[in-house]
Amino acid sequence: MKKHLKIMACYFRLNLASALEYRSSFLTQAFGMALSNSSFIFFWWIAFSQLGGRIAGYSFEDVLFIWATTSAAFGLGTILFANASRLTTLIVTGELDAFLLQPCNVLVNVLCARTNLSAYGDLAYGFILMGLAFGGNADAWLWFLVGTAAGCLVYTAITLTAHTLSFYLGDASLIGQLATEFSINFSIYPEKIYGPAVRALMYSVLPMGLAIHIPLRLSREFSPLIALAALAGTVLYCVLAGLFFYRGLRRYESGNVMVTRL
Amino acid sequence: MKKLRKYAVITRISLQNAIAYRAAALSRFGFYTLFIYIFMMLWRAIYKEGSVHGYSYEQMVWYLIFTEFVGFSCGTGIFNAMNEDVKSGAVGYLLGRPVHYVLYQFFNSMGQMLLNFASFGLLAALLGYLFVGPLPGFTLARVPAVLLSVALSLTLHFFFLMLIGLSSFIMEDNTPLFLIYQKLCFMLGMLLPVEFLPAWLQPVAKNLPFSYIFWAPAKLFVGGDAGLFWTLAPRQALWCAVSIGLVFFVYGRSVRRLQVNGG
Repeated sequence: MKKHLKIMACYFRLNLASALEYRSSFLTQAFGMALSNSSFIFFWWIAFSQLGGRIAGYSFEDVLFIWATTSAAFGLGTILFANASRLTTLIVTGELDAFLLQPCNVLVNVLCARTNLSAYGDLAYGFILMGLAFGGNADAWLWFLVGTAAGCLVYTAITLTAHTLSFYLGDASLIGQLATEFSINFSIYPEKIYGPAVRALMYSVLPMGLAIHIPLRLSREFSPLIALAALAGTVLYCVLAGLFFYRGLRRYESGNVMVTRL
Repeated sequence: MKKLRKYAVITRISLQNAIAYRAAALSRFGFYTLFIYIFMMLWRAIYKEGSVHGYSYEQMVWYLIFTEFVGFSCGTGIFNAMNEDVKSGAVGYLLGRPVHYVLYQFFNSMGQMLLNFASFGLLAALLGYLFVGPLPGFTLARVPAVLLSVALSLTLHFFFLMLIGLSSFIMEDNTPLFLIYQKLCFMLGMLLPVEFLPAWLQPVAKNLPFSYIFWAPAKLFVGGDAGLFWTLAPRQALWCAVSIGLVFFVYGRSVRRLQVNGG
């Protein structure tokens, strides 16, 4: 475990150093992403000012909470594990060979090898939004941080699972893109707008509800049972995603391709 | 006439290309359906809480279906294509051809736009009927005015995207410009009708071009009369003329700065 964390820290340092080499591009991408997220808050502001009160049981503050947590979780996930969404490309082109030959955990090595510059904007946006909406509310901050950590892991596990299907089906990039879109959209709208079938999906196949909507519920009213169940669900989903990857990896056939990793 | 013929050939080839690679459209159909579904559910929840003045629930869902239809119809990737042309130097090859670069890009995207218009039009109609039933009060007499308005809004949107694409002649990274434009469109008509904006913002929105891309045709579609058409269409035409003029002006100035290296 210590070795894995060391590799992750090393990748993070190198990726950040590489991003900072192109400082203006890094800053404009991060700023652009934060700006992009803000436009949706404008939408919600208009919707709530039209109606006042609540929408599907959520107040404006609740919506800000799920937006901040989703944005920070997605940002952290794509800063640390951006390569999850490239897994299909690695499998289809045979570039995965390079990762298999290195003397460290394949999954950690694959997931951490790349970062996404605009994700820093998402992460910063989550914290700024929380600061503006909740100020020094310690409860809200605690559950925001828990949601961010859990959301980062669940989002990565969903992306990994969807792209792992490429071991079985060939190019599963479309499934990967749809899984990402569904996961994000399940997180940034009040869960009660969806019917029971979609809500069941939010807590099983694409369990972003565990990481985003449950922390909101716990910040309103703490329940140790719900907290434990959500934690267990998150850990179980991530473990299963890892096992699914390794099972799929057995089916991988080398592309016999020469790759240089710079 | 001969000049026009070569651009017609470019459009025909791009249409053939778009049809040949139609599988790529499947994922976009998926995103379109997902987006409409989510916003339909969201507006249903909003309308449950209270009424939103001026638009019924059915009109609101059809409004969104229509604005997204306009957005997806214009989805040709022109911004990225122009960025790539300039940054990779591929623009050098296009400049040497006996076609005007701007017109080439426009007619080359036309095939994809025609296919998008037809396929997303069908999908939009299908989803609308499936989700909320027919649009109340809609008659076939409204179709010509709506089609003309859509043609103007597609042209306006396309030339604005080209204008942002051309900024890559000057800026190293023009993504923030694209994002700002995209979000202005989102806020001023795409996700919400202009009538929903605060009173102080409505006149500002109506004096900017962004509302005439999504709000104008969708407003005409969900509840427009002939009077409204004669108010909105001339403004759309005016902004089209401005955007086209700007693209040719900026292109003329930018191409003088172009330096292509390599062999």
